[in-house]
Amino acid sequence: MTSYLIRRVLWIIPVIVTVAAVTFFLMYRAPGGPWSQEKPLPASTVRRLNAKFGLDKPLWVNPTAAERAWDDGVRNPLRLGRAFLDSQFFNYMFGVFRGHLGPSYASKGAKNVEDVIREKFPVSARIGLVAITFAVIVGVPLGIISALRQNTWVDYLSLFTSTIGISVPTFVTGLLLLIFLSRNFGVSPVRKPHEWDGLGPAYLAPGIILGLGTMAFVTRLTRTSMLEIKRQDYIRTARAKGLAERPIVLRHMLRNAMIPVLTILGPAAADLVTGSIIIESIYGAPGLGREFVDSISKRDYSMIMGTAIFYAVLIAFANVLVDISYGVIDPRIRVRR
Amino acid sequence: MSSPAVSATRNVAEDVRGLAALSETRPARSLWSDAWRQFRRNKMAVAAVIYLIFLAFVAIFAPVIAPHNPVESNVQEAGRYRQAAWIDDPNPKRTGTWEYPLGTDSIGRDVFSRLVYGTRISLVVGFIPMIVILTIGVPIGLAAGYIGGRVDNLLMRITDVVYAFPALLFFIVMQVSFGDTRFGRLFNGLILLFVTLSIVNWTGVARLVRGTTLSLKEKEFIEAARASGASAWRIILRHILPNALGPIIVAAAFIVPGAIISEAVLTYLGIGLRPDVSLDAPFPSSWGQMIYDGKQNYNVQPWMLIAPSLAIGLITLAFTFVGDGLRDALDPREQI
Amino acid sequence: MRYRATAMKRIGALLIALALVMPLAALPTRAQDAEAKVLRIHQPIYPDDFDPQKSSFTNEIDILALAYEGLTKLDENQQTVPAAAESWEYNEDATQITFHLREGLKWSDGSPLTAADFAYAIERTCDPNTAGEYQSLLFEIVGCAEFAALAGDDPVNPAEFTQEEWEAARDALGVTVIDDRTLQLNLTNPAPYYHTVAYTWPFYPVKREIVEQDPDNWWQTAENHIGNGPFKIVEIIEDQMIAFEANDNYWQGRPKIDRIEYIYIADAGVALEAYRSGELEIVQIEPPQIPEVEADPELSDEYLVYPTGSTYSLQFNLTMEPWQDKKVREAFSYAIDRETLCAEIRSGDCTPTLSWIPEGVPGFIQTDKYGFDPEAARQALAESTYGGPENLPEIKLYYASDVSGRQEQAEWLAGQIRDILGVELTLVPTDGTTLIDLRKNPETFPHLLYPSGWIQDYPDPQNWLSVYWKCDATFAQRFGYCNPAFDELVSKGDVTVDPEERIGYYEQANQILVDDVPGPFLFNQAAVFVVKPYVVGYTPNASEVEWPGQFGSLMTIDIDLAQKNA
Repeated sequence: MTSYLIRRVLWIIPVIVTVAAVTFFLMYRAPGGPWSQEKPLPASTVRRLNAKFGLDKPLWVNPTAAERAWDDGVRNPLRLGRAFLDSQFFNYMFGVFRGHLGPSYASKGAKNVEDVIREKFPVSARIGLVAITFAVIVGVPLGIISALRQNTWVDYLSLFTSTIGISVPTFVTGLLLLIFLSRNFGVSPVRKPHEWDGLGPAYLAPGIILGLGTMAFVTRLTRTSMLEIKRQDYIRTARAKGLAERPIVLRHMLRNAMIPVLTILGPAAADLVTGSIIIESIYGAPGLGREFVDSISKRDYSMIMGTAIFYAVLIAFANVLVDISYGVIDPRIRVRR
Repeated sequence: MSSPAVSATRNVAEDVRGLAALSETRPARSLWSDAWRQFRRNKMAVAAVIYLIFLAFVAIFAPVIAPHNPVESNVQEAGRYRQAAWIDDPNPKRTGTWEYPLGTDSIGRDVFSRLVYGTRISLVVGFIPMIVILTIGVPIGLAAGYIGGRVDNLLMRITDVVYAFPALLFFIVMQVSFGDTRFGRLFNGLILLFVTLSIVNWTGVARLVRGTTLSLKEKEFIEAARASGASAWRIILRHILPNALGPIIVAAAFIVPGAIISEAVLTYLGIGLRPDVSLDAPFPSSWGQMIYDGKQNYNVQPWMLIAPSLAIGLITLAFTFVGDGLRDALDPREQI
Repeated sequence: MRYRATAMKRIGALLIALALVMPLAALPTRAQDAEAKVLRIHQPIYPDDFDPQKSSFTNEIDILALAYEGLTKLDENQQTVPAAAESWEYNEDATQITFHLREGLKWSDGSPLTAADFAYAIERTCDPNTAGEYQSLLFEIVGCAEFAALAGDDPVNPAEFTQEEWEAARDALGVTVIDDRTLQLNLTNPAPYYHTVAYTWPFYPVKREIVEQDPDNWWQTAENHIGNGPFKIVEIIEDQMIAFEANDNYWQGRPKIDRIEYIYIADAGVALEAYRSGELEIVQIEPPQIPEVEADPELSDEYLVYPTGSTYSLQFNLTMEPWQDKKVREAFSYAIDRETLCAEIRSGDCTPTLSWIPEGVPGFIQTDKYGFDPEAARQALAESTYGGPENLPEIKLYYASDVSGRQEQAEWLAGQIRDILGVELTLVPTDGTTLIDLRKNPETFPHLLYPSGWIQDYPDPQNWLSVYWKCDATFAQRFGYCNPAFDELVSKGDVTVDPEERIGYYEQANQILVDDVPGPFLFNQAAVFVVKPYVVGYTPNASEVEWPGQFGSLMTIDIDLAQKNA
């Protein structure tokens, strides 16, 4: 088990490098750079800023630098290799493995990407936490009940809510909920800045709105899995043996029905905690989701890279957790090897 | 979803399930005819199919059904933001008339006609991402889950990578790279949009299928099949896939509205579709765009938001019912 | 953000949400300040920076303009009036301007403010190490362009420069501190408009000892903003709020308002809701919201619209077919019903124009040339070398797809061209940053761009014409406009000291622009707000795009507490 864990965690490294490379490639394919602004900058300014951020280096590899080093009499293969990799991408990656995500371009170098993430991520994470909790504590029971009471009004109600959940975008539900709370219950549409410190009531409305879609999905998935399990032999055997309904549901059915739900919860959790631009901008939450979309539209190269890498790490860890928990829920499942 | 009548027969069916799974002697023909019989018994599923056929009919005959041209803006005569037919307004240009059942939008186009034409895109593109996502995601999930080991590890790390890279950036790059090609212009860029969407979205399905496969492959009936010498292909196709259908169908039914909504969200973020202004444009409007427009006017003209939402909701329900019906019908345990 | 996840994760069930959230509803309370005069103003976008010598966007300048003040300022009628300088004079040929500062000027911390502090602002703007975005505004000061260009012209390797070179270039600046209250600027050419330029933000004084400690980041801390404006920055909470309080040390005395808060809310719907619930005094309205505001009995009374100093056109890329043919350009200009565009499609957030320079700025001309006329449009197209719509090449209309309401406007425009000229445009929605990048050179500049325009930096025809349309201007070069006759007139205007003669040249130049149809001029953008009725004492002017009164009415704007609390 320990060696399996170590291997899985080590696998995160190539995942990160690939995500970084793909993101880097996409970033430079997108037209416009960090200095594309409405007002033209004096050319000299652009150059200076480019130079400050190392944008004068080649993108991927730097054979010229290696040649120059060779001509200067450098024969140490490590140093030659380093010169060859004296490029924007590799310089960046070397920084990443030393824990530096670099300065943010949009702030003109004033802020470090890791500081921005450290500052903004907690807010997104708290919203995501509320969302995923909401999705599970509402979705799972709703799914179980509608499976057990198949084709009753409860089942239809759950179908109805999950359909709405999936058919109306958050920029509509989010705004409508906000207006509803403001007009009927006097909840201010504007949060005071300090309300975002710590997990407070400010997180409830955005968390629930963010969790609605996942909740709908969890409901349907639980219901389907429960129906599936209901027909399995061992449940029938348990029933035939005269076991009470409650232990059957809890001990046997639920445990098995949780596999698909668990599978989507891992990435969904990683997804939800990294933030949503729409929820965050409607509720004015100072989270990472807004920052990330902003960074893309501003072509803030280092911020894009840093957030993508951070996100990749989260996803990878979430999936490790999911794979481990398969074994916990159903000991017969073996993912090791 | 099955009707009570089906549930009643299920107990009998399940008693012989073990045998059915083990014996493998049934000819394939009866699988499909049984399935069809089973499906027909499910009233909701049949109703959903009828509704989808109705939508297809609306889509094909949109020019006949729609009272107005969906791209023609008639500001001078009809005014902008004409109210729905049932609304009275002192301003004659804002008073509702049945000529414009759902009023007109911000540039004086008939909302109802746009809704009718929107059916086309929603039907066409609802299927495309679904098919692409399933054809990529399901095989990968099955392979990873069933074969396990290195294959599993490799495939799942690939999904990790795909899942993690910034999709918004990918959309922008795809738009810029292919937006102006013939492919990019197909259906006003919708095909490009949905292909892009599919490329980044198959990972969820792949992981879902893998998870289900992992748990299924340890089950007794699979071991039994393996013991009886069935090939890996046969086990996957005849035993694992049908038993994993439930989660797959739930995911598939969610892909359709998801794709339509994504378009609205992309519009919100400024990388939406390329509108077509020619008067005989085959795909002039989409429900996703209409939701986005509707959000901006929800206070004055709520129906502009409600109508497309309702349309998307109904199509989601229809796919859910058809999916449930299909799953029940294809369930190997239902065969007698 | 992962919006791809919309399929499964981002979508909500309203009913459930409502049912679930009911119990939490009795949550936060609304703060009611009965006594203090607080003005809470909605701002949609948090700025990238607000450092006087580096900023360039309206949402940055509206912060700086509260806490700082230039040598001159614009009053409520956009006239240049004394500010930190009580008077100024030019030499005979307007190549030198001398400012006389007020007696007893103070920073907001009470320390004395002198001519040297203004000289530092200029020096810092031109400094190659500052890389200020608005450096070029000061390039008419002798030595500024050279100082800024020390970094060299090589795009890959900016030139190294020594401390000595840097000092020499700095000392060569045509800025002379004659005494604590006298500042003299030498200009590279006659520039009789330069006292107006002196109102702009690069001239805002900053404290050298604070800035030099951390030249890139000093502005992020509220305490570092020691300025000379009517207010001072007291609190900065990124992405959420910036708060200002009255500056007792302002030369004109304390303003009537005690506190101003800029509240950053990205979603226009949320901002309007906050306004409705009484938590904001001033809110910017987006065009799609206008019908809602107009339909609301209360909001429609509080609705405020006024023209701003900006002109927008439908820009042709003149280097591409078919725009070289003037008849085609005329046809497009004739085909656009600007009245309907502004009144109906844009819900009244603009006023139609056929003149480039807007009304109220010298150089404006009254004209109806190439105005809406479907018959003339068809005729012009028939007279063109193409002979009619069928021979025209494919025309692509680009627009920024991330601006609210833009797509509908583009669709309507394309519909006009289709119905009147029989030309079917291809619409190309493009995200903002990509579009800015495409606009950078004529090869990629959009074939047809809606809208393209200019927001004035200062209300002078020089800023409207020379900076934008001259053959060597960055903007004109991007879409390929160059008319020597125009250049000649404008160049004369720029150096003419006599105001009347000078304006005469500009009017003629403006007429040339109208005649050339480089891109049909469409409208002057209006500023659209809702303002609470208890906010009084302000006169909005055309420079005030962020909120009414932001420049000219800072000392007079007030809150009628009796009315507010009634």
